[in-house]
Amino acid sequence: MTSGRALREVVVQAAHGAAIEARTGEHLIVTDVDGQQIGDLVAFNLDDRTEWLDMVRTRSTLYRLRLRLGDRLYSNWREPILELVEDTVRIHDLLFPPCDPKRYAVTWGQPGHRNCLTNLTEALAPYGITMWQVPQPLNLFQNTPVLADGRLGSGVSPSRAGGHVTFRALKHVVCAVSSCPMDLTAANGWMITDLKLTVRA
Amino acid sequence: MSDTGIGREHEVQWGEVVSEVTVPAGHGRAFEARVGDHIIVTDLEGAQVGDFVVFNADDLVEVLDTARTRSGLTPMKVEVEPGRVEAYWQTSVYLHVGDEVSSNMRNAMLKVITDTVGVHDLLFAPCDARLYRDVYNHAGAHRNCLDNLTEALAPYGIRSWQIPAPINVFQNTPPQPDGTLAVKPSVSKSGDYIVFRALQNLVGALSSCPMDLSPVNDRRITPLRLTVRRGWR
Repeated sequence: MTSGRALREVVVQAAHGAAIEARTGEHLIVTDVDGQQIGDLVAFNLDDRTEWLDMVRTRSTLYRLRLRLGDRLYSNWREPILELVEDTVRIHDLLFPPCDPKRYAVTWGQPGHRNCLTNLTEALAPYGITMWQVPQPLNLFQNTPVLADGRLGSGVSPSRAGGHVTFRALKHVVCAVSSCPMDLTAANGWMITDLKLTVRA
Repeated sequence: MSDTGIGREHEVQWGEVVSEVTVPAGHGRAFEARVGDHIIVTDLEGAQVGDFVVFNADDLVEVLDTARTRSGLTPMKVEVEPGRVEAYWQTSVYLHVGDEVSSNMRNAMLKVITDTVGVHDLLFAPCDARLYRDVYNHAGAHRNCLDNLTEALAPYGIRSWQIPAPINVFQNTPPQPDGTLAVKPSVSKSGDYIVFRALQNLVGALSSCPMDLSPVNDRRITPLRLTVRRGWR
């Protein structure tokens, strides 16, 4: 579908984060290299860092918790910032925050565990974005549906090796993705693996 | 004494009134609260949504975070099978009495003490100018919760892009099995209220949601009362 020339590519090492830039009209492809790996995705407008990909506005503009092909994803200014143009997995989460140091320290007694908030912060540091500016991510390939009683389910990611999503950038953005290091639940199939970020024309 | 059914007996429970303001229909007002204070939001005429946000008064970078609130603040250990204990959080897209409300730093900011409605929203953004323009095709200006909250918090140096996703009190927009979000009239009645206890020193704001183009406020925008009580025993 997106057969444009690959312009940039970066591997997100297992349990780490990485960033990549996409200009308006370019395509960002996030690939689950080995399968069952959640990727926390955030994006900032490089022309105005007070604008970012906002799961809250995306939900409350689409009036949905699930993405469909062709959906525009919205920024905190409720402007389209990404468009979903390809999706081989179709299970993503728009509700969870990134896992963070305190979650591992308090709940699991594992201070110092790698976590998505730190991964995203590290990846975005060169852009002058600090930890408390990291918004709620789009949790790609994460299987945590709302249950009938309002609790959030905790399923294993259904994504298979090579599973991917493609977004068209509707603004000039830097995207950061964290390979979610959660290895204390089944979320990532008990194995943390690489993701790949590709930008095509 | 307020006319909302909250009488003298509540002075023991929630303390003396230290501030009370009527939030005019379709507008916003700010408040301050200290650790231990009770913050009471009362729906005066019924079916009125209030967008409610709080900031840590001692560090405005720390704000209400509905995502971390949904993902559960209080860990609980569950014996999933004999001898095997796993940690869980009480995740929920809803707010319950006894719940602690999380900040972006995963600290407890508020605790839900009493709630006569039981239907609130943790999923929606505040309505904003672009929602009225782009989604509801409304020509011209329309009052909106983002501007209301921004105006109310301007004296604290808080900018619109710092306003977090609110707790939308009395808002009836439950997720459906197909993943869509329903938009239903608020079920709160005249005099209904929710009581939060402040667990940090807080600056906050409440907007009487001006949305009259969807059913959330039952097509009638009305005032809310915002009360802070201190010195409960």
